[in-house]
Amino acid sequence: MLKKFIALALASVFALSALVACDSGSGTEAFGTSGTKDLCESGVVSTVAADVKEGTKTELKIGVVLIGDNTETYSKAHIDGIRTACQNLGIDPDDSAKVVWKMTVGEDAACATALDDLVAQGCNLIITNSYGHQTFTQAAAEKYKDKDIQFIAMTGDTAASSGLSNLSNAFTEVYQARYVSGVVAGMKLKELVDGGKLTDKNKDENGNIKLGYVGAYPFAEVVSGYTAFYLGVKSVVDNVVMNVSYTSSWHDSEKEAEAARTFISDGCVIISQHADSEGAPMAVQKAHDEGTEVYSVSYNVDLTGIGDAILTSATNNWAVYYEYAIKTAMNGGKIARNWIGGYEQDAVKITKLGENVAAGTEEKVNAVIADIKSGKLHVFDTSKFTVGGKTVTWAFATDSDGDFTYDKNNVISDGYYHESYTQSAPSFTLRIDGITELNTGN
Amino acid sequence: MKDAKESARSGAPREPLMRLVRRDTVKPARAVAVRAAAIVLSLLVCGVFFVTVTDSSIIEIYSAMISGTFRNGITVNTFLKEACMLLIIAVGLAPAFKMSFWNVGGQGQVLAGGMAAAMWLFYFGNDLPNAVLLPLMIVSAAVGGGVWALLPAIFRVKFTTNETLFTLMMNYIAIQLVKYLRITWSPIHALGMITRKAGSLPSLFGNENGWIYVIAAAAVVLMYVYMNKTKHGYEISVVGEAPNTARYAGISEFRVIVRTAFISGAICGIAGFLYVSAIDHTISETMGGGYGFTAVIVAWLAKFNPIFMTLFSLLISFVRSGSSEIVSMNTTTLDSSIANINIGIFLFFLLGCEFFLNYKIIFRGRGEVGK
Repeated sequence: MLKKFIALALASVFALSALVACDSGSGTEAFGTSGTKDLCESGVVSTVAADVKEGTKTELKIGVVLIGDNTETYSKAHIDGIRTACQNLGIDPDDSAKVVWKMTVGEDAACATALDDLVAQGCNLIITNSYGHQTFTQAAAEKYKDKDIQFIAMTGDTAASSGLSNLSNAFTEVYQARYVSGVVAGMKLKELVDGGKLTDKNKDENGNIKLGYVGAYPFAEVVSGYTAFYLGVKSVVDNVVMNVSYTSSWHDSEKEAEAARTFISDGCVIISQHADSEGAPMAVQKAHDEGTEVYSVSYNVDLTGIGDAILTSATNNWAVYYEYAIKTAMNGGKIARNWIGGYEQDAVKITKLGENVAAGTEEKVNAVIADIKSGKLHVFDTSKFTVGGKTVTWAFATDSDGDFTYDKNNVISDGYYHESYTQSAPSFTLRIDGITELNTGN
Repeated sequence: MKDAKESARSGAPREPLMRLVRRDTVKPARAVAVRAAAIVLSLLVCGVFFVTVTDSSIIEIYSAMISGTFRNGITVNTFLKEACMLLIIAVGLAPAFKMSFWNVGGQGQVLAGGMAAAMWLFYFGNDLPNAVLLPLMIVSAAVGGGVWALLPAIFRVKFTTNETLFTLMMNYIAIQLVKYLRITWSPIHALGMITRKAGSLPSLFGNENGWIYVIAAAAVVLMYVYMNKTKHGYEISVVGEAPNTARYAGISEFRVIVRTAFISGAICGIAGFLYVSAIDHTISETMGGGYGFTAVIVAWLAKFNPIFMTLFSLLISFVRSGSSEIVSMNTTTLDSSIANINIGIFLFFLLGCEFFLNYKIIFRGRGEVGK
């Protein structure tokens, strides 16, 4: 099934990448500020290699640099993805002659040392999984550009601007899964409203139902995710508002639980998160057990085991990308500079639905996913949200001078924000109406 | 017969199972033999440790450790680079120790030097040519590291504060400052390399670590000459071994301690510069992988002897790269922290052998009683 999907994806996007000036590096220059440019001429993201040279098979040795290990959900998702991909392709992921794993490698010179070591061991496909590894990965790609090695900086964003042909970035369109998980939450909310289960405490002074979101840092990845979640909820129940609380850590169980408890005492009905611990869901479950009407939508892994307050989680299916990348490298091909995959590629999903989801949720979810796949539904549809009371008509998505503000490449056209369009990594940082950040997260 | 009376009074007539007697002198040949035995034993225990946690035989373990270090140019360069960095920091700490100034702030001084160098990179990296940037970075790194050691030195002389605690705490200040800078410089909490081109030491002899090797060699030689052939070196040993003699001879304790601490910190600061300019191209609180602490043991064990310092640095680097190779072969069962366990085993034996050099054990009935 998966393989069929990949084959389909490969075929369909072959055509796309022919249209897209992916590898020019200067393709981004074609963007203007008017917001009416034809995006297809200059998008740099593709989902397939431009030149898979079948027949020139390479003896592959994969090197993997991970920020964490099996005990940390983010890295575990990558480890699982690589292992699945390897197994599908007949590579034993436990054979150190085929796959060399470097775990708990920090975002500093330890990364450079690990990369040197992988090169020294003869790895010819090298993957780093954390955003902060990227500059070291890029430096290694430059240092070893004469060797036949392909480097992948997962979740990174500089492959295109680096001009290096042996460096790639990849990310999933997990915002789509966030939107769908928001739909699940919205369905639940609707059921509660229809059943008269909500009180004034659950609403703000304008009668809007309150949601809470525990975020790690105020980065695009998080903003894109919570906005998608909010819009998913809003697509079912229109009168909702959401507060976002940052913990300034990707993984801090106590802080995440504390943020959730604050939301619960404030009357929030649904609490979601972009942070890697089970702190918030556990706090929600506890309050639920004590009789509060509150539910959790989580991230990364299925947490329905915690209890009946867990509705679902948005998650990545990294195996799809890793299988594509490894297979391409095995066949002697070139891995796409910027890869992105969403529902269409089976690269994102929501986990098992909890026992307390509203009736009809599964049907609704399937319908929404079908609409996302067919392109009928765009998560960041500009007719569905406003910024400062106004509909957004243009937004830059590229930071060309490294000052952390976008200064070029408008990605709004055809009535929606094209997320992950100029680069694999999410770029959405608009603060839309209805969502309030309670702290700065720095 | 005072001893006999005492033992009768305390009701302990039996001689203890073993006693420790301090040795007066150790023959150099014996010292070398004991240390060599400690090194061999520690490598044996490292090997046995690996055999118990992996499926490999001891022969496979040692050959993997050797091939992990000497497989090709990349691994040899990593091995030498790590050894040289450790050596430079140890050389920096040596004069302070010789003066009985217990500088355990090597890590903080490396970070302080690194921060000073990195600031030039961050604020002027794109504007200044390397010919201007590099000297500025080196000088500020030396001053930064020097000041980090200078403060505890001044307090020690003026207020007789404990320099061990003071230098230790300066480490934590430096670590927190680095964390602060990383967040300030990268609002998205992913600093990465500050720049990849600007402020980088050029290759030397076609080797990207060439300057590190040259600086390490120069540091060893210069420090040897400084300590053994100059008036400063003489003053350091007098202040360290006999402060009263120093005072009687008119040596200014203040001047010697402050000057030496500054030099000590400045060399660590230059190590920080090397990390920023030639290795990391950024700053992080883990910069140098804790060598600021490991170097304390290297300098102390080697009794500030440059040849031993070089030897110990090479050995520790070998254990590190060898362990890393074995972790690579067993990543599903082993973790990178194994390297630190092995360095720990290695240092444990080396520190342990100092005990046998300083004391001898006399078992019951084997020695003269009540000497």
